[in-house]
Amino acid sequence: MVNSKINIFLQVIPLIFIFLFFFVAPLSLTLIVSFWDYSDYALIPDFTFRNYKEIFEGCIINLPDLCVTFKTYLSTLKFCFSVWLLTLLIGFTIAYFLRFHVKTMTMQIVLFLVCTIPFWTSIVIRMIAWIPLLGRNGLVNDIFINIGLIDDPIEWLLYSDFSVILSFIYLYTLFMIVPIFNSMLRIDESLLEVAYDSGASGFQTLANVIIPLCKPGIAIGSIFVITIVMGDFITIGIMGGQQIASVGKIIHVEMQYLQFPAAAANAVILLLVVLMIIYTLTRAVDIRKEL
Amino acid sequence: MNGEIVSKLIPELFCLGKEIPMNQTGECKLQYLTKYYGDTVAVQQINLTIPAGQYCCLVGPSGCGKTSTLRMIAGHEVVSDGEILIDSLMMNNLEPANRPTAMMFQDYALFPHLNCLDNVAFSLKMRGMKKMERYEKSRSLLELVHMENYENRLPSQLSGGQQQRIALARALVTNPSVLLLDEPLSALDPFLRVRMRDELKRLQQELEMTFVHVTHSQEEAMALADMVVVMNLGVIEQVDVPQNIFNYPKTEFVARFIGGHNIFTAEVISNNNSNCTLKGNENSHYLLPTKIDELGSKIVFSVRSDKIRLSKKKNTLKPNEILCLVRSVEYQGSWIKIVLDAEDTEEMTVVISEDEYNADPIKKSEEVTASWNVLDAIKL
Repeated sequence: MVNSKINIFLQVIPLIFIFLFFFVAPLSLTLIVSFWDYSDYALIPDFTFRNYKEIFEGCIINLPDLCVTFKTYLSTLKFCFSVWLLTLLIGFTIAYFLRFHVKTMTMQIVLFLVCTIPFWTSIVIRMIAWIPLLGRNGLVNDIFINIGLIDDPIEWLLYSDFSVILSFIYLYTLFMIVPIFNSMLRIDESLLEVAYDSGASGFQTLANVIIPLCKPGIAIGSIFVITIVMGDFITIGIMGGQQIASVGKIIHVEMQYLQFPAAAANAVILLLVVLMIIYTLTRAVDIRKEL
Repeated sequence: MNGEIVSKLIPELFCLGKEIPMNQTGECKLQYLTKYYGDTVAVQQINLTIPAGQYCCLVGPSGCGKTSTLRMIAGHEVVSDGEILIDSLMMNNLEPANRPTAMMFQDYALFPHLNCLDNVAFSLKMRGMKKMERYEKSRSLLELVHMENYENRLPSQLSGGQQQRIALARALVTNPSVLLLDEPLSALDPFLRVRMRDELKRLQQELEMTFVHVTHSQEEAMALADMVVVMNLGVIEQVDVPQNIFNYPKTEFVARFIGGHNIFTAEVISNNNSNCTLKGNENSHYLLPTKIDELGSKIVFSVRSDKIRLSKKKNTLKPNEILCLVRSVEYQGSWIKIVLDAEDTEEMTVVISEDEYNADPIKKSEEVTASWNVLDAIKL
């Protein structure tokens, strides 16, 4: 009796250890440090709201002019929303094609694995590979000029909002495809037959049968994409030519200046924002049946 | 052999006292209906007329073409050749939703994300009916299948029998003339199967709608149908009322499939105007109450398992008597099933009542004489 209880305890210990050491501890540390004070050359353990006050300095008073924090969050949320929408549309379409138009299960798996091939390369290389493609002297501009479509190279292909969003979509659409495809696998073909029998058009079947049944998959994919984009600073930094602001960048810069309490406070705020978004998502969709 | 039914025979043959009212809709006519899957023929030019308001069962082993036929009537399979007419209107080019048919699928296929009311109202929603109207109609159908208290439940919260009732309600909501059922009882346990069978029969009689029910269980077909269509390898072997299928099977396949029959093969050695004598392999002789002209021709005939009597007395054998060896005795409750080795037939199965058995129990490896009445032998 006691033996089995000890056994169970021992079996759970590794996971508890990983959870505590890699999740709870860093998070608590960040939270604690966010209340510390700092000077030009040292960190001062304290309990002060200084960092939080500085983040939101002049944010309410200066309305409708936006303070730095609000502007940065708006910019990042803008990217987040566009990337989410586009990865959703592209990912859903690809998953739909894979599930309902590819005939054999073998081909479905093969094509699915083909989609994952880009992940065999490092994410940094995959990102910066766009630069020689999109630059002023890049491949795309060269082709367009040579076939006479344009006279001057297109400026906004690289180091712009366009290139950032393009890069995000390229990197993270698979995170949408996988959970949506998984959801779709659970949709029995007989349900589509019933819909057809009931007189549903293709669009009606999509709206009334397929999308409602894919909601958990869509939610999970959205969580992946949103959390990644909100915290990102590398992709936005490189593909935006270091000209575009992002919340992750603020944190990064503050860490470079060794202003850890300020960075920690920004990190906590970011975490809260992302948690709020995810909470709203899970209210709308019940993910539990997917897990 | 096709099962072409002449219209004027229908009232007598199939009604069993049931009048077909005038202006009854739901008559289903299949003419030279054919289906190819690539090079394989699944359905071979079948001709069938299902009168309005009949409960028709398509029965046969797997691969006989019954499901393909049903799906062609529904519109889910494209017809390779031939015509489908419902109430004299050509159905071949109509979409399933535009035909006066509704289909109930084998695994019910209820929408898991909709509650019962929305499931039933689905087709009406697809047709653009307003919410109030379609909910009202759906509720009346839920009442018909006695599920009115379950309207807010999800399919996952229902039992198998309840799911089937909802699937039925969903199919009936569009007022079809013909209801097509694809093995609706296969997914249920035996006890529930019998109960749901009664419900289906009751519903069909109440609605006076044509039901076309596909099953691989001959027991189900006999219990439910007004009209049994036995199919094999894409052709119709026999179309008749259940009693006639069981008592007068037309072909060897039907006799074997329907069960409860023993098939014998023997050669004609003499005949007269009303019957003929056959000779088997050993010294067995059989009398058949039909006239067969050709002497020496091989005839196949069947005798029902419950029409054979077993006796331990060993006398000289008269016609329709043979010696057999008991292979197994199986207790089945109110009757006993005895399997014997006999000449001119594969395993012979005889069914006797418990009382008859207890009077003089027959044991394994005993030699007994099996006999039957002349009139109980049916030529196939």
